[in-house]
Amino acid sequence: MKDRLLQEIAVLRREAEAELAAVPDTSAAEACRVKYLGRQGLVTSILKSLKDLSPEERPEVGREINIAKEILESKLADLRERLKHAELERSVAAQRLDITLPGRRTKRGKRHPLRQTTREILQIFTDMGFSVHRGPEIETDYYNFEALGVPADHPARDMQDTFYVEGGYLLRTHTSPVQIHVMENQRPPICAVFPGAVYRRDNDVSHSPMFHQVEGLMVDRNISMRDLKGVLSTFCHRMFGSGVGVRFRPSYFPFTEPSAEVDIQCVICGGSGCRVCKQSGWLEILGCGMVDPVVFEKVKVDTKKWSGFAFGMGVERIAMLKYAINDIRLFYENDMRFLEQF
Amino acid sequence: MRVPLEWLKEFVEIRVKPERLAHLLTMGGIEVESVESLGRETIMELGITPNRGDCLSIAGVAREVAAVTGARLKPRKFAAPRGEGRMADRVKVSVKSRSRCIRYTARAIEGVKVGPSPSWMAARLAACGIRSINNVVDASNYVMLETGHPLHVFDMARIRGSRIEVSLVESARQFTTLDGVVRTLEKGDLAICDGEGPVAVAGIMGGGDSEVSQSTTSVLLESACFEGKGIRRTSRRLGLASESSRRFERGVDPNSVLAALNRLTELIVDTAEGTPAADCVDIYPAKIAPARLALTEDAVERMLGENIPAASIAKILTRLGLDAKRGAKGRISVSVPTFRPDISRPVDLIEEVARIYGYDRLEGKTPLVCMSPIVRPRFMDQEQAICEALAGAGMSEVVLYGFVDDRAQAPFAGLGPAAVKIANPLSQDQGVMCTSLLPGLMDAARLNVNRQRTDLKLFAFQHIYHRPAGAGPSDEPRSVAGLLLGRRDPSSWERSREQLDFYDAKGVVDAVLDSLGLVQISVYQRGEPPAFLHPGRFAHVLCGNTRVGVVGQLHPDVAVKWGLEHEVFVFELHFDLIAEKAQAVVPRFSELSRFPFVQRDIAIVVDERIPLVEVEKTIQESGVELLDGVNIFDIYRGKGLAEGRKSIAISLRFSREDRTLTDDEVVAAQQKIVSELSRTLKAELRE
Ligand SMILES: [Zn+2]
Repeated sequence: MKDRLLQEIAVLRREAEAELAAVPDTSAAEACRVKYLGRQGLVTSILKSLKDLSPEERPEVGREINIAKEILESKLADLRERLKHAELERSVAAQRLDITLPGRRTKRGKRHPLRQTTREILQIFTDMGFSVHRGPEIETDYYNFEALGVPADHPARDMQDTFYVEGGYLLRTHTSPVQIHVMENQRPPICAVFPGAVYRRDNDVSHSPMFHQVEGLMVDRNISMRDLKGVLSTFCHRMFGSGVGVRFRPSYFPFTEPSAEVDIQCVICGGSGCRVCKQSGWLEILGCGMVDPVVFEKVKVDTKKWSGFAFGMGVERIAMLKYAINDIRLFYENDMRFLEQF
Repeated sequence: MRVPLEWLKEFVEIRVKPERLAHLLTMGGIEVESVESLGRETIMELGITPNRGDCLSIAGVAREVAAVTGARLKPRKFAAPRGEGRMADRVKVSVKSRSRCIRYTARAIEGVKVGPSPSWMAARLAACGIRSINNVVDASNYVMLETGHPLHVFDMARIRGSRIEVSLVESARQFTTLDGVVRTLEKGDLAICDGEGPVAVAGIMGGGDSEVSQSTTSVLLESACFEGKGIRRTSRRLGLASESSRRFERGVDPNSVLAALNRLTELIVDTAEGTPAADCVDIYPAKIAPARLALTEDAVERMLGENIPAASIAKILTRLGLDAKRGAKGRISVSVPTFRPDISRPVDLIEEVARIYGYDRLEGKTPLVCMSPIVRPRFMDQEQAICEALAGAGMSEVVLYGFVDDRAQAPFAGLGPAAVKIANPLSQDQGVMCTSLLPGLMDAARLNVNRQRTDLKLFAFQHIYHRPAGAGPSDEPRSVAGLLLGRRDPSSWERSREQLDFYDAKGVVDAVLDSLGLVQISVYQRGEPPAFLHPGRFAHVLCGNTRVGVVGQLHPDVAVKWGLEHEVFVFELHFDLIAEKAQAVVPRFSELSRFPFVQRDIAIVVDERIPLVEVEKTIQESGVELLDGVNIFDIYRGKGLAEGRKSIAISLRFSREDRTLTDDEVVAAQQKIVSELSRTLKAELRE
């Protein structure tokens, strides 16, 4: 009895292993499990017949059949795992998407290039420790001209053709009046920039009746022209690249003395001369100078103690150079084909 | 100012090439805009800043050339040829307004032969952009270009009463200038009058009647120095700017007025013959002396940040034609010739030193300042947050002009503050400052639609302008406005046909409010519709109890006026009001529940007119403590429902913070809500 059973177990193991090796899919694997390990399965029936053996014979046969059972179970588990994996692979392989279709999202809108440029300019100056202030666009003659060293009938008024509004006010022609407001409200030291819209009676390819400026002012003890050069060179290099050439040349503004115009090497031709730079290789980028004593006098800042510099730049001009835009009016048309390029 | 190099060489030695000279002048503050060759002539085009009236002349530019190149000036002396007879016997000249006429000189020439100019003179004038007229007039223009002194020549025979009087006009009167235009002179204008009336608008333009013509045989030459501001006032008012007024406005040298008269006399006698008077009239009651200024080496160093020795400073000033003398301890005393009226303070001298020394030689450095934390304008962060939210919601930013067409703005005006009018607009359609950004957005939309772009999501964030109720400055609040038109998502491959509607605009407003943390305290309300909005498709937006703006569909009437046959959705919010509210919203943390929630979905049928917010409110206020959340997830109308009824599907969520809920509790809670809905809204439960 014992030997017969051991014989049967050996045969059963051989056959079961051979059968498992040939199983093609998970359902065949399940049939195989039922056949051997199910409640009516072959292994189970051998286990059941153990009770017919004598107590001495039982452990040995029991051990054998348990070994056979464990081996079968583990092989089956392996097999099922393998088959399941293979089946998943097959079905996943069939699930192909056209991955070139666009993803679902709300398409982001664009910020206007002038706003982007203003932000970039302000960022450079705030990084250097400049505060930001704003002032009114509808101004008085005093703030826009008089306090800046341009009294009535001064020839410098020709530089800026003015829009007047009712009530004796005007649309500021530059952001420089904010200098006066700030110095009236705050004693030095002052280190700030003033962005905003300005207006002049002009309208052509390079002039818009409204445009934007960023003005700057630094007043402290011992501020000299070398400081002005240092700060504004840093600005030009951050804005247009550290390799760009920068030059300062004398100019005239009624509210600075000495005054300077800052040029950068032409970003279009690299300095060899082109239409944009009128063959000079240089592009005017901002005006600046040491604050004129006449201005300090108006706001009662003691020139024996304090000195400073001021500067102003056109945002449109900088954006036009940065993005190679050739007509200032494009900024205000708001054609989507234009806006979407930035 | 156009400067032929050959002419310039009569006044200064030039040893450098034209390109080099152009560079040196530009870097010295006289901007050379171009260098062109015209035959054998080389001509520099200079941009002269308004403070440098002295450089509106060949002689003045020559001084700059000498200063920047270190070359020698060639001094030129002009003397009037010998003449006959005394001026007093021919014309009596008087100056009535001494403050407006600083110096007046005149000389007569008899027996001139008016005819064509010699070719060399006509060519030089042409090179400078001035048309040749005749030898006498050309001579006066020639001397003006050369010396910077505007000069005038009268036909002596046309001077009535043998008198010249420089005086202010006493009452308004007509006067024909030599360009043939009849102009009105007003009280306070300075005029040159003869025995009967004006013969020239002083310093601006002569009269047609006394103009030199082919038949002229005797002439009266005028060389004067008029006060600049008065000239400018009259010139601006008449809209008449001339080569002459341009120079007087910027200031001419009173002390070389006579030299210019002598030069003109010489040139006319050379080219048109004639015999000048033996003497000349020269009325110069208050002689202007050179300004005396003191400068120190320290002051220069303080301003420029670099030490330039007193000796070098003095040398630079001398090169500019100034008289500089060194004193003790780095002091320099300077006498400024009257041809440089722009130099009146030590700081003006420092600029002269700096520009000739060379801005390029000053090395840039980092300022040494006291550190202080930077400040930004109020609400700058909120502005940034809103613009980012709008871009994130698919809205593209436009920038609008501050001015609009008054008529176009009318429908948007409503009862708000009035617009600020521009007194001198460029055109009617830029006549007033905007009180709303919507007209500008509509213009942008129309432009794009006309250019085949029919799906638009635009926003603008900028100032609007309110006229003050009384006197005083205008108010300039900021506004954020948007416009949506066309398809919701035209580039989507699944939903490209969906059209935008009211709820898209409302969603954008929500995104704006959300970016400032204001959603919790915001509500949308019906109310009196503004004239420009569709009365059934609009809402007032409220934050707290403050109306902060509107959202809705543009009234079809208004859309059609802009040529837009589309449904246009817009919103406009007062930025300053909502930014103000944002300050107050600080989130407060509430404890997280550790127990699971139970969710139950119900569907109810209610009358179409019942707003969703009422349903939500009824549920919230039903007194069920277990209620933890309400979400409306579907609305259905049509088949299976009676006309005027809608079905609303609602998700209810229940929970307790201290334990898991029992089934019975949930059922009871749900029943209570359903019966409350049925009681207050006559809602039926839909199975
Ligand atoms: Zn270039």
